[in-house]
Amino acid sequence: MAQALGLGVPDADVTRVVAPLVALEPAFRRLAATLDSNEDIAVTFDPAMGETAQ
Amino acid sequence: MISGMAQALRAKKVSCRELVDSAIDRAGKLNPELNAFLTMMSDGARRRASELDKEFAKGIDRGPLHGIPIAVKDLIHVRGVRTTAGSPLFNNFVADESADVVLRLEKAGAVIIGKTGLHELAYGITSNNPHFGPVRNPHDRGRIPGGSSGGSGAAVAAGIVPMALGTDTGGSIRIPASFCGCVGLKPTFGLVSKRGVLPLGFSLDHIGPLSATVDDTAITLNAIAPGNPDYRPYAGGDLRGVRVGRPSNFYFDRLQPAVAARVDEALLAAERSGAQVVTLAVPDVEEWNAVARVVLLAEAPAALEAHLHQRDKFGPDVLALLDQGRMLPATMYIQAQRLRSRIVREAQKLWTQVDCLFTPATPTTAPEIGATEIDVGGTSEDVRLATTRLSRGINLLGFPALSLPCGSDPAGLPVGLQIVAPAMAEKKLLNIGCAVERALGIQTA
Repeated sequence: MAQALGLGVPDADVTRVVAPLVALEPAFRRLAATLDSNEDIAVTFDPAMGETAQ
Repeated sequence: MISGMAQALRAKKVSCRELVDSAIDRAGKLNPELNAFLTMMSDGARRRASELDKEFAKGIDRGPLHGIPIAVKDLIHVRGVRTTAGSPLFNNFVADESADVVLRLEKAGAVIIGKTGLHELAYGITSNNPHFGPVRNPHDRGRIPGGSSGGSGAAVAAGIVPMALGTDTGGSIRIPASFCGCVGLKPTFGLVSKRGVLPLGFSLDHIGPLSATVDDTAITLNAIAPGNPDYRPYAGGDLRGVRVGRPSNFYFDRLQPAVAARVDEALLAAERSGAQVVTLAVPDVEEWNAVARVVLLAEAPAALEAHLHQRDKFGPDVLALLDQGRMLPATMYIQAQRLRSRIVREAQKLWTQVDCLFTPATPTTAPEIGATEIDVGGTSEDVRLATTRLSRGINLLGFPALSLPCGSDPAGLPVGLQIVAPAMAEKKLLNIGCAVERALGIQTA
């Protein structure tokens, strides 16, 4: 499958490679489900949120 | 340390050339064991030091970095010198232009003596590089220096240079600072130019110094930050009026006992110095870490896409992470960046209660080279995930964070204290760090 998608990962290795993702994904999906539709993407990431003073 | 060297230069007790010769000689003696440097720039550094001595003789003084020997991590471009990024992909790559940070440091008079070793492509924390060999911790040659800026941490901790530049995508400055016993600053995201530095995570990468003291860090930041800033801490300042937050959740869970003890001692020292220590709950850091992992998994293969077909040129740990990232659905990355907006907004609220957070920089002291698991308070954990657990989320927030030594474990291995401050509050952060150094009795001359 990965080869077909052009990812260069040997098919025999796919299960091993994606194992950490499989562990991460459910928790992440639960988080993502808490997003409301007004939450925008951090396109221009600004940790100061407009604050620039020391 | 830099200010001591600068005074000695101006008192004519030593010349720029002598300082640089001494650093090169020390690197020559120690590097066969430490593997801290991938490329030495000895001839050019000696020439430059002699030019800077001539400038002094003419009355030209570029400031506290004039004639000071330094090093830079080998994914930061220096014109005419190879930049490998710790990867055979770039074994023969020589940049036509220096990175902005290099130009700024050279303008300030610093002399680069060499390029330091790192975890392959800066994508990992051991600096056990399969292509260039492991960088070794000066405190125990059988242990990792941390990473990915492991060579920079080792070069500073071994006393070769007082400052070496690193980069930090999930803790890669603060982790080697913690394991090697030096000061490491991840500045606010975007404060320091990344032009001319190989990217790993476009929205997580930061450049900053690893140095011997907080004052050295401030001197460096003055040179590499834009404008004409003054980040140097107040001499003799204390912590009166500073509200120090001690997280009641997450950051003090699952630590080696010595790490917990040293960080709590630092909190007591801060209190003695006038700080008000406030125990408070922080937002869900596991959430920060999960989101940061998704962002980096997606951004790293995008940064390296042109090279991904050369699979035999990647080490197994880095290749596995890049492959995982390529299989990550685009929707996960988008959701991660949406979650990030919310997470930053919520984390900002901390600063209404406290001026900074004190946490351990790493849950453990330096692991042994080759270890994949480490005991953390009686539980075995994956070395990479355990080591980044306390630092990674701060990259997602973009807040500045300092790691500074706060003692050692029973084996004599350094313990790092992490101090996190609001965005753009580097001046305050470095003042607090300097006062903590003083309260802990750390020699800063």
